[in-house]
Amino acid sequence: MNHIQGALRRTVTALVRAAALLAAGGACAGELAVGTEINAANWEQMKTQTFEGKTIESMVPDKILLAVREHGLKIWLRQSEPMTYASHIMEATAKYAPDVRYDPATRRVENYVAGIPFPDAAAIQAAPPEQAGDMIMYNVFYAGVANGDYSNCYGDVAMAVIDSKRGIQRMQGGYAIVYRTKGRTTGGPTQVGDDPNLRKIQIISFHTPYDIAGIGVYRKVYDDGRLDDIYAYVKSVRRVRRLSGGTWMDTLSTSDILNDDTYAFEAHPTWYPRITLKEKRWVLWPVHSPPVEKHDLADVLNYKDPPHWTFINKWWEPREVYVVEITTPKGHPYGKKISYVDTQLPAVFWTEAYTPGDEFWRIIYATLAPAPPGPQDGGAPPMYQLYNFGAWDFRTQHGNYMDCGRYDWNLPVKFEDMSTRLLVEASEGKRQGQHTEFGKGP
Amino acid sequence: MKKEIWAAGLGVALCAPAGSAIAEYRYTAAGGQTLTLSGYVREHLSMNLDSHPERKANGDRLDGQWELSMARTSALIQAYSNLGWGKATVIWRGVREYKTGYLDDLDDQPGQVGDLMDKYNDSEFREWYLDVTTGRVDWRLGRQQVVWGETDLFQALDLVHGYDFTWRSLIEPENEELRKPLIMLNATVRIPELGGDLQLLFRPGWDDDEDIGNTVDLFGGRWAAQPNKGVNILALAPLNLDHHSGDKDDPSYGFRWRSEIGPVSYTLNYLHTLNDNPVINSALAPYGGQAPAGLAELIYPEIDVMGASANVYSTPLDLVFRLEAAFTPNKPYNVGYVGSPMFNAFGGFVPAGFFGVKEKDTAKLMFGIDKPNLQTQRLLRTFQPSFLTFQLFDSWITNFDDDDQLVDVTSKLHEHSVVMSLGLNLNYRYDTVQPTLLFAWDATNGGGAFLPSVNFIYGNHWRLRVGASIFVTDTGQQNCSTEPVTAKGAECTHLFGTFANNDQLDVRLTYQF
Repeated sequence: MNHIQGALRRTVTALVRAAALLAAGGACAGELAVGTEINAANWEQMKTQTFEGKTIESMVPDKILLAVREHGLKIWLRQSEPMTYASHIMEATAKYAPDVRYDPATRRVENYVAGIPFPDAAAIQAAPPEQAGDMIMYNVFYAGVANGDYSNCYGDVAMAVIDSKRGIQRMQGGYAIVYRTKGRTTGGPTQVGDDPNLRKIQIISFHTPYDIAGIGVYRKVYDDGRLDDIYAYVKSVRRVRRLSGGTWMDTLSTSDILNDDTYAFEAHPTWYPRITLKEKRWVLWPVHSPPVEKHDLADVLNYKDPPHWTFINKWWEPREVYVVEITTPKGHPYGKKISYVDTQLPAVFWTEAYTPGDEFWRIIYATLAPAPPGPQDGGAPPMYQLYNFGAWDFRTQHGNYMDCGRYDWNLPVKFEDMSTRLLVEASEGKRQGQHTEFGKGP
Repeated sequence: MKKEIWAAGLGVALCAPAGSAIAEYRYTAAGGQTLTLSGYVREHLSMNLDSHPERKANGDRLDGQWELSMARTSALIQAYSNLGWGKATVIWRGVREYKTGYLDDLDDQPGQVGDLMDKYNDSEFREWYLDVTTGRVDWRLGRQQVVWGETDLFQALDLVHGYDFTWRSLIEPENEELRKPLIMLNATVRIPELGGDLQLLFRPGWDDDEDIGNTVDLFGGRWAAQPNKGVNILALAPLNLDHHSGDKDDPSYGFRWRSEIGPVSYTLNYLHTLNDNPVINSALAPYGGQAPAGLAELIYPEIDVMGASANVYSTPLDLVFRLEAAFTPNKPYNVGYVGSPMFNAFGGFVPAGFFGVKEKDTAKLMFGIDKPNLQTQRLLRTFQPSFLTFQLFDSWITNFDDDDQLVDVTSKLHEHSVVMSLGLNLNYRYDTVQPTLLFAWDATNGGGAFLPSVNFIYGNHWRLRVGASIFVTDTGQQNCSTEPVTAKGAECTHLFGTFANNDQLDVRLTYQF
């Protein structure tokens, strides 16, 4: 009798599960439904299920799985759709990419004007892995999705400093502007400024709290391998001061990331001795989050529960990525970095950093949200906003969350407006940005 | 949550407003105009580490070792408003000092007039200005601070403003707190055709007497040069800012061109202003044909300064080089140092410097090297690379003549006066513990200062800084300090000698919002 009862119970249980799966996942058994939540508690049940025909466990690399299982990271499924770029970027790509040449001897790029330099996935796939790695990261370097011709991410929690046991320790309000000087596609010449190798101007400045208000960095970034020209404003003496260009592999002040970790990858490819394409694979990652509007920090970061650094995003979808191994030069704190870069558009989703002893150290991640297209964009995003951006240091159990409280992009800002004067204005409490309404902090 | 911290023995409470984690207050009007308030409340204590040799009226040493020389409560509010068509900024600072036993002793010295605390207590709208942009011109109108040049610690081109060295002399890290703002019209014209901008400055002459030039402690307070603690020199030689060669009501004006040539950022500067430091206009030899009302007065003659500054980063050396040169023709100096022929001719009865003014061409030259990313992470276990800076500063009298008998403090001024400085900023625990070491050395006369400090960062609001100021004054052939009773040493006292016996330990707690 007991056998019969046990078998009956197992059968009923299996039927209930199957019914639940059918209800959740539609007609195909094992196929998860849009909106399904995957978390530490249900991982074992979910991992063998599929979404859009691929098993969940095949799309969650082990370091992201670590965050799911141990840090409360939750994955909510969304149906995938292609990543696209505004028509002016794709037209520039079609027009100029055929002339772009990668020289394997110098590892440099010639004839770049605008658009994505190496849009042909087949050519990347066909190249030797070390050349393919360079080409992928040159795409990020010149045409990374996180910046338009002008982008400004700003807010009251520009950086939260987080201890995984104690919570948020400090918050700094500020802004990060990137102004593209080479490869412009939103109107006017493709290049502005005197220096033909000036690629962009980047300004990161804080306006709160009082003692760091105005402390910021003004950076001229070049595409010929030259180190950046960097200036900082020292508020307490009210002077702009020249800094070393050799800081690209140093820690970004007060944070858990290095300067070359900004936007998950921020350096000239030739500064690394070798960049190798290791494989192509599928991952789940949010790239179609909703546009960044006024939001409370609690909407995007679970700072209340340990480890206080887990981001919240409900729009994960299958993406095919290149897995790129970046070999660091002598003196670099990391032994190597592994970056996950989308195969459709040059977007670095996350970078894993390893110690020189090959021990896993940090993750620097950036989830994406398409910027709403303007009239000239042909219905496609001119850039992708950072919906969640942060770093987890697994060795020190310390991390950061950089919140773009609001976003401006592709404003008609002139090159000459991008001067160190902006740093001075920040010291007086002026935040760059069109929006004045923000959500609540902690 | 309301927190109160009672500064020991002072009865001074620092009240933190209800704790918002975002460290500022911001308001938005219906029309989109914003008002942002930020600032701090601060308690700053400083303790004498030395016994002062000056004598009280009863003949006892002033002493004061281990006594508080400063118990200063200050508050600053910075209001910034974006009005849409322009931006308005107002910065107010209020200061109230507790009269410590040591300050009371200084105030009781014979010759002191009024209450010494009036020199320290203050409530002032330090800055108020409006920013407006018209076409390619950025206007800033109102009381403000303008900083020129590349030099740390000293002033070469940075002569737009004077500094107030009376409440803290030389060693406050935020020199914006010591700089004396002026009412000015400041226009920056962007000239992208030439790759730079031109700043035009005009001070109409509406400032008060105390806003002009450097203010040094001549009233016998805690930063009076040894041996003048408790001695009010201003009673003997008051300030006169209406002298016709140095009238604060006369306009000051200047320009600064800023641009880049390749990797070099540079500025070209010209300024007509009042001299940075006061000179004695003595009845014995009046300057500019205008005698003082009494025996002597302190004046700030008008001067012209022209010069250039530059900075460049060297990739192969991974160093930043800073350069500055400022030339002032006919800069005024007092003559008749202790032991000079003219001093001796009067048998030592007339103080040094009271023998008139001589104008000399002066170049101030600065050469600095910064290593902003010194790799100290392994050696000193810092969180990130450290900042190391070295600087040579030379004050050179280009048409120097020994026969002029120029005075430096009370002793002989040399053709070159060179001061070297070395600074190191370290950082620990995610930049929340920041030790700083600063060492300055007078290469011409000997003597120097060692200024170690540590800044602690607690969350968004609380900051604690603990520091010491150690002055080296008894080394070098040319450096000593005047003995108060016998006046021995007056012939060899230079800048650092005036800080003799004035080592300090200071603690500063700030709540910022």
